[in-house]
Amino acid sequence: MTDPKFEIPSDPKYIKEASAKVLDFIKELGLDKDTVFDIRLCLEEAIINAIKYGNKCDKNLPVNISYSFGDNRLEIVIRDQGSGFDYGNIPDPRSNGNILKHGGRGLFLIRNLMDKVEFNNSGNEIKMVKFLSGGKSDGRKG
Amino acid sequence: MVVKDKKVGEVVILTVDGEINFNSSPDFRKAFLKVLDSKEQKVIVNLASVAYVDSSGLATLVEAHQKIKNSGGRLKLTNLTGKVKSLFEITKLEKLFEIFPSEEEALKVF
Repeated sequence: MTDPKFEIPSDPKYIKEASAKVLDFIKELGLDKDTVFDIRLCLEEAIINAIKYGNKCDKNLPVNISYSFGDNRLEIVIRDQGSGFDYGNIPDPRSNGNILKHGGRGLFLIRNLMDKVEFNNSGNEIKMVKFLSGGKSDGRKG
Repeated sequence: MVVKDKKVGEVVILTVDGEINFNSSPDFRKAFLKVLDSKEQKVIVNLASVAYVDSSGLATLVEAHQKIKNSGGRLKLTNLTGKVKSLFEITKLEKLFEIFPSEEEALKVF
């Protein structure tokens, strides 16, 4: 069976709908509230980045979302139609020079709350992995 | 998301009910700009009924903190719920904000 996947237009009004779809999928895993919070936050942050920075809010461009669960591993992949970015060179939002800045916390939170985060070469696709067992996150804690 | 305001002495208390996220943070921004426009300088934001904040919500709270500070005032946050509190810890925003367990505690130190 192929992994569930769908796409949404690059419009923030679809964030909730997209998030609800994935959260509905993981409901049957019986995860604790904190783990669901982490997954939801990372999913929505990645979708917002795809809409805002990847697709530049062009409603004609889709954000592709796919997800799967197996071997206690939840994997979510978000792809935009942009040219990507330099994901290896992201300023630390906790530093004195950045703490007051508006942006930069989304990806930082994803990296802290997920167990594994990978980008494709160009940087327009993010793969986020959370290891789960017995209804709880099995990986690092945020 | 709904923001209600009340006044206790010289302090304005904004009580937020709902999520402060990408879509709702402009409404929260409007609420604190209204407080700034009325020249209030002592502000508490009670987050007891906020179970979800994303990076846009955090950024809007940082903006509120800075704007109130730049106008000579002070902003305090109270009643952060578990996961919201952990986001402040992860991002080190707990060091930027004055955070109190309750409105009463925050009111004592204005």
